[in-house]
Amino acid sequence: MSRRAVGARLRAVLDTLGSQAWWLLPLSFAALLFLGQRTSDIEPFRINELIGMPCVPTEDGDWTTVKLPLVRDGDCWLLRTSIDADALELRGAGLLMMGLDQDAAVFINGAQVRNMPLLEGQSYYAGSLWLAIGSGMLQPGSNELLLELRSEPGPRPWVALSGLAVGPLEILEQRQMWHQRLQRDGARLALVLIFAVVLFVLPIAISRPREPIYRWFAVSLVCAAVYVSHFAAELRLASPAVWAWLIHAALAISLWSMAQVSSQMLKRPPARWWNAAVVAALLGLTLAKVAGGPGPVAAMGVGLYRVILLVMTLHLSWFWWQGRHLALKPDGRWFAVAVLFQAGLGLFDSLRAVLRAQWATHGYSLHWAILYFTLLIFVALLVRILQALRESERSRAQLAQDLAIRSRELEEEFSRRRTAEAARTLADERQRIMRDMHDGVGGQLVALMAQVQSAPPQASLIVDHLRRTLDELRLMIDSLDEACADLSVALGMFRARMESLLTQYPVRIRWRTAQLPDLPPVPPSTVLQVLRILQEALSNALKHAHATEIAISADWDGARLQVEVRDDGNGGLEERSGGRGLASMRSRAQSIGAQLSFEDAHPGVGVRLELPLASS
Amino acid sequence: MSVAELESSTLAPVAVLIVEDEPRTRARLAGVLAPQSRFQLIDAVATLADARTALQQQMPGVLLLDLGLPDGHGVDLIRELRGLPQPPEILVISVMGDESSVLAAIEAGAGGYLLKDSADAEVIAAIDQLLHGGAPLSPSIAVHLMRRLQSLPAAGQARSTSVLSAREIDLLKLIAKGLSYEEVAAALGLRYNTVASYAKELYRKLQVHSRSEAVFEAVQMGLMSVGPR
Repeated sequence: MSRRAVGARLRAVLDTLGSQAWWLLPLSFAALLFLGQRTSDIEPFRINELIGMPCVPTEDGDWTTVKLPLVRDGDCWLLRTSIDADALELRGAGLLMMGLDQDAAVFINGAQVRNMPLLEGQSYYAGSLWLAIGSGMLQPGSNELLLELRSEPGPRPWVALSGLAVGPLEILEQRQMWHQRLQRDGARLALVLIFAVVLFVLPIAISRPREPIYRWFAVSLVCAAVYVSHFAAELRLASPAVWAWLIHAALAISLWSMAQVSSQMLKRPPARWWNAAVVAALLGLTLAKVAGGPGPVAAMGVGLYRVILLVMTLHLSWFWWQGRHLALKPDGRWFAVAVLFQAGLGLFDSLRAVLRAQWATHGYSLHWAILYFTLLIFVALLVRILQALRESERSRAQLAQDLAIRSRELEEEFSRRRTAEAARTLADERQRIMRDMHDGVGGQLVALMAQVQSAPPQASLIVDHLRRTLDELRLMIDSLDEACADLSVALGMFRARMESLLTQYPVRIRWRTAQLPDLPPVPPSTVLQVLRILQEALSNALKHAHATEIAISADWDGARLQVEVRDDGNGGLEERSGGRGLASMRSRAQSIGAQLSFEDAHPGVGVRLELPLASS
Repeated sequence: MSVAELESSTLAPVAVLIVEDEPRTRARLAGVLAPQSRFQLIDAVATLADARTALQQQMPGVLLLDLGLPDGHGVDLIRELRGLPQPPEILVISVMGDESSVLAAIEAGAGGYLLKDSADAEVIAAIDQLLHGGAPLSPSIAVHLMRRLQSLPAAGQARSTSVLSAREIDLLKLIAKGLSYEEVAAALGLRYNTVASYAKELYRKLQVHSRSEAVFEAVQMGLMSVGPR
C-alpha cells in the first residue's frame, strides 16, 4: 500500500472517530477525574472533604487543635469526616495524613504521638504524615484524635490538610511508599501531563482549518490539566497561590473562548473592547480571588467572580437555546440544557458557600462544569469541521471526476475535428495541386506535343515551350515551399531563380524587392498566382518589348503588397500578347482577391499587382 | 577569386567524380570539367554501386552527386562519406534546387548544390566556390536554415546561447529577401568570400545539429551508449 493510501486510510479512521466520538469525551473526562482522585481511594477509610481549615492563629502560642471526630471548636472551622471510629477495628491500623502545610503535633487520647515541624520550603500539599497506631491506642467508642496545628504568620492564616486516611498498616504503607516515590521522581506528573496533552491538545493541533480560538481552548485545557495533575502528584512546584490561580485562569480562558466562539456566530459580534473588558474582569477577579485572604473584601471579590461566571454561562445557554448558528443547530438545545444545568450547579455551589460562609471549602461543580462544557463545544466544532472537510473532499473528488470525463470528451471531439479538418485540407490541397498541374504544366506539355508533331517542328518554339514548362514547375515547387508562404521570401526566390536565367538576355533588370519586411503568411495558391503573374509580366516584357531595362519593385504599406514590373520597351499594351496573356493575368489576380492594373506609358508598360494581406 | 586567378594558381589538380544517371547531363558535366587543367576527372558513373567502386579506388576532392539514382538515394552515400576522416566536398546535382531535396542532402553532409540546367560557367563557379570554403544559399533555404537553427533545443547544446550569431541572422534575412552575395556583402560591409563562407559555416552548424540530434535520438532509443567514442 502506498504512503498516500495509508494516509487516506488514517484520515478516514480519524474522521470516523472524530464524528462519532461523543462517547469518548465523558470517558476521557472520567479518566482525568479518576487520575485526580487516585490518592484517596483506600475504601472505606477515605475522608473526602478534608481539604482545608481556615484558621485564625490563637494568641497562646499559635497552636490550633483539630479534633477527630470533628466538631466546631473556638475560632477554627473543623472538619467533618466520614470516619466512624466506633465501627472500626483499629488494631494494627495506621494513620496517613497528606497535605499538611503547617507544623503539626498529633495527639491520640491526649498523648502526643508525633511532632512534625514544618520543613523549610514545604508548602500546601507537602507534608505527608505517616503514623502507626499501636494496639489499644484508638479504642472504639472512647477515642479522640487531636491534631494540633500551628499556622505560619502571614497573609494566609489557614491550615490545609488535603487527605487523611486511616486503615490497615499494609495498605497505608504501600500508599506511603508510592507517594514518596512519586514525589521523588515526578513520574506521575509526566504521566498526567502526557495524558492531558494527548487527550486534549492533539486533536486541537491536528484539526484544520486552524482557528485562533483553538489556541485559547488549548491553553485553557493545558492549565486545567496541569492543575488536575497537581492533585494527583502532590507537586512541590509552586506556591498554592499559583495553583489556585491556574485553575481559575483556565476557567476564565475557556469561558471567554466559548463566548468568543458564540459571538463569532452572531451577525453583529460584540465590539472588541467588550471582549477585552470581559477578559480583563475575569483575570482580575481570579487574581483578586487568589490573592485576597478571608474577609469581607475578598468575599465580595469571590462572590463577584462567581456571579460573572454564572451570568456568562446563563448567557451562553440562552445563545445556544436560540440556535442562531445553523451549522450547530441540532445540538444547540443540548448545549443550552448542559449550560443551564451547569449554571444550576454553580448556583448550588455558591449558595452552599454563602450559607456556610466557608470560602475555602467551596464546591467545584461550577468549575468542572465549565471545563466540561468547553470540551463539549470543542468536540462539537471539531466534528462539524471534520464533516465539512469530508464533504468538501467528496465534492471536490466528484468535481475532478466530472472534469476529467468532460475534458476527455472534449479532447476526443477536438481530435476528431482536427483529423477531419486535416483530411479536408489535404484533399483540398491535393485537388488544387492537381488543377494547377493540369492547367499549368499539363497545358504546356500539350502545346509542346502539338509543336513537336507539327511539320516541320520548330526548335526555337519547342525550347520556348520547354522553358515555360520548367518555369511553371519551378513556380509550383516554390509556391509549395513553406518558407515562401511569406511573399517577401517568395519574391526573393523568384529573383534568385530569374537572375541566373536572365543573364542570357541583353537587358538590365533592376530589383527593388529586398527591402520588404516579413509578411503575413498566405496559402500556396496565392503564392503561385502571384509568381505566375510576375512571371508572365516579366516574360512579356522580355519577349515583346525589346526593353533595355526592366524594373521589378515591391512595396508594403502595412495592409497591401504592391508589386510592379515596369519596362522601357517600345510599344504599348496592344502590341503585347494579343490580349490573351493579359486576360489570364487578370483572372489569376481576381482569383486571389488582388487588383491588377496596366499602365501604358508609351514607350514601356507598367504592370502593377495590389494584394491586400490580412495581418496575422 | 576569379577563374583566371585560380587557373594561374600552382595547386595540384583536384580530383572530381561525377555520379549522374542521366547520360546527357553526365556527359555535359564531364565535358565541362575535362578541359579544365585544374580538375582531374576520375570517372563519371551512373549508379551508387559504381560510385562506391570508384571511391574505393581513389578518393576525389569533389563529388558531383545526383540524388535520385537507379540503385538508391544519393543521401545514403553522403552519410557514408561523412564518417571518413577527410570526406570529399560534395555538390548535389538538383533539378530544382528546392528546399525539400537540397536541405536533406546538406543536413547529411553535402556542401552545396548545383542546378542541373546551370550554364557551364556556373558549374565551374560552383565547384570553385565550394573549394574555397563557400556555399550557395537560396532565399528559401536561408529561411529554413534560420528556422531550424533558431529552434534548436537548448538542452542538446553545450552552449546556452543561440546557435546563430547576430551577424549570421542578419545575413540570412538579407539572403531570404533575394539579395545576391555581392549585395549582402555590400550591405553588411563584408567581402564576397566572407559571405560565402558564412553560408558554409551555417551548413556545418546544421550538420552538427543534425548529427547531435541523431546521436541524441540514438541514445534515447537505447541504440547507443554515451561515453568516449
